[in-house]
Amino acid sequence: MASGDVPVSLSWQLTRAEDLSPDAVRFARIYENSLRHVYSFIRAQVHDISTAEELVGRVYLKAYQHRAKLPASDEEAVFWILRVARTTLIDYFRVEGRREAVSVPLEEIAVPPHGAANPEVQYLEQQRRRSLIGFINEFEDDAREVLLLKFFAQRTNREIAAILHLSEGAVSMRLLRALRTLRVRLTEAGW
Amino acid sequence: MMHSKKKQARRLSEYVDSVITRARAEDTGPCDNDPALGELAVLASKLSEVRLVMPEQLPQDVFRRVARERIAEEPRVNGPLWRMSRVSSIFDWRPLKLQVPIGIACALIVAFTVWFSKAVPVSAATVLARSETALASLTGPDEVLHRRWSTKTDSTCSSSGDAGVRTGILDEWLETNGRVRSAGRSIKANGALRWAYTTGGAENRHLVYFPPSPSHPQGLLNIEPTREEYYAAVQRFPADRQPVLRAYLDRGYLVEPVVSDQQFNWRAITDQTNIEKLPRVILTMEKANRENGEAYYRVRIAEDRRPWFWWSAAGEPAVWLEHQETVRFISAGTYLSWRVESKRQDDQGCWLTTTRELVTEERVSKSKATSDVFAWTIPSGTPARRQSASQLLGAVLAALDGTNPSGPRQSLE
Repeated sequence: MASGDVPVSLSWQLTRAEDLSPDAVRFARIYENSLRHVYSFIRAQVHDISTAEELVGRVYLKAYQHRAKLPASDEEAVFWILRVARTTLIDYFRVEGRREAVSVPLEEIAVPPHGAANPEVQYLEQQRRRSLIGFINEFEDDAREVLLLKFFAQRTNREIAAILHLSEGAVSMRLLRALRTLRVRLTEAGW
Repeated sequence: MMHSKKKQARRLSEYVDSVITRARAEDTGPCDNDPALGELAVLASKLSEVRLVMPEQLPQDVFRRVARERIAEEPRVNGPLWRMSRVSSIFDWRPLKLQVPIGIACALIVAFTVWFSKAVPVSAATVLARSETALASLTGPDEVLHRRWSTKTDSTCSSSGDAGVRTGILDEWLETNGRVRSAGRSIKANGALRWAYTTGGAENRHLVYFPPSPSHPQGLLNIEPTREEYYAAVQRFPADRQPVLRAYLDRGYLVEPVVSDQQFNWRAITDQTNIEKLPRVILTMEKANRENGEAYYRVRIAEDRRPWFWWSAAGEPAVWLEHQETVRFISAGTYLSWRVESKRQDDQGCWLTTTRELVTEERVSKSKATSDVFAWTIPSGTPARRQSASQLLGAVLAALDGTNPSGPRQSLE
């Protein structure tokens, strides 16, 4: 997509508010680039899909209201939105007072391409992936955030460092510790 | 020890970053494991393969929510560009002390618009989107927009030999302040009512009234499904048929006001789908000048396969496929259309050419109106029929598959 383009499917809604001003066009572009990652990052941490949808809505509403603060580069703007997603989740958990167990039904886990031909393999693989989400959610906040930003929001260490205001070295160490712990827990669980 | 741990962390991070970068690019090819990282690398690969399915409607729903809340907080003074054309009427009644700031604000808006129109290349979708914007904020708190169109329809059927010209008047009323309500009335050349519709209420349901005719001696009140009912009905179809039905609904053939500009805009702007049996809508545009020098956009909307339907009072709706080209003439100043031409050709060799030309456009004060244009009375004893969303969608699928029965079309007119 060229930098001046706006997704046609979104433009009519956008223009209701701002008549395609350049910053609104840019917002739509960033929205398209970040939504999948923001959704996965949030969905993997909340109880159900409707809560995830509500929180994703809050994230973009906040982002739109404060879009004057969007960093100049689109790449950094995506980090910025993920930072908003993180604080939105923290606020949500604070208000709720507790974290409910995450429930991700199998139909929300994408079918692995190599297992698609064999329904049984596919089913087992989906179950394993669901279990992984469950294990990650039992982690402390620091480890959980790094794993989810890494594998669900698909961020590199440099990007995670920018989102969490940490050094890249600190992110590397957290990632190593988290993966080791996960490995131990999976072994204990008979994986 | 600490040094070795850091080294391992760095090595693992480099490996995972390469996996993630590939996953982000949807590169599903195999990734070489780093043997020194052992099971941690395998675990990282496994984790990078986990994908969550995002609900299909989420991108639209979230964006709509953002746009809606923005509109709510947007002061009306920043309203759409079309209001500039109303500057003269503002000066007619505003107290003198307000005229200067309003004048300065308007001058700034005009300057911005001129700059904006030169700086940003305008696409057909953009023009239609701005037209939609204009419609969305068209009326004030106590206002209804009334537009009167003259209509002319030429039809020719090579199979039946039928041909004819039909003229008439179409009156439309539109209220867009906060919620959208619309009503319309089609009048034949002899002054008789052809049909009337109204939409609105909490459910935004369309009610269409057809006066008595040979096929319906007592007339008919058609109660159409709501947008929510249509989308809920899609769930009752097999999963592999749902995308084409959603694309059909998303194009707004059914759920927007029957004859308003919004229906056209929605269909033209939102459509990005290219489903095999429902090819995408093609938009093209050119800028031109009217005889009086006023600039306008000529937006052409081409649909290769458009399902047309006609409700039946007796049973299932008739649905058939047509090729349709619509050209909208949209004012470059107000982004409202002043002429619409459409050509339709159906699968039985029938041609229909319809032209709508704007005759008058005025904003009417609701409080001063003698009657509510969105509520009408119909003769007692008029039968009412509540139409089924599932039935219509089933008929649409049959038409797309070419298995629909060729029953009467336009039986209600």
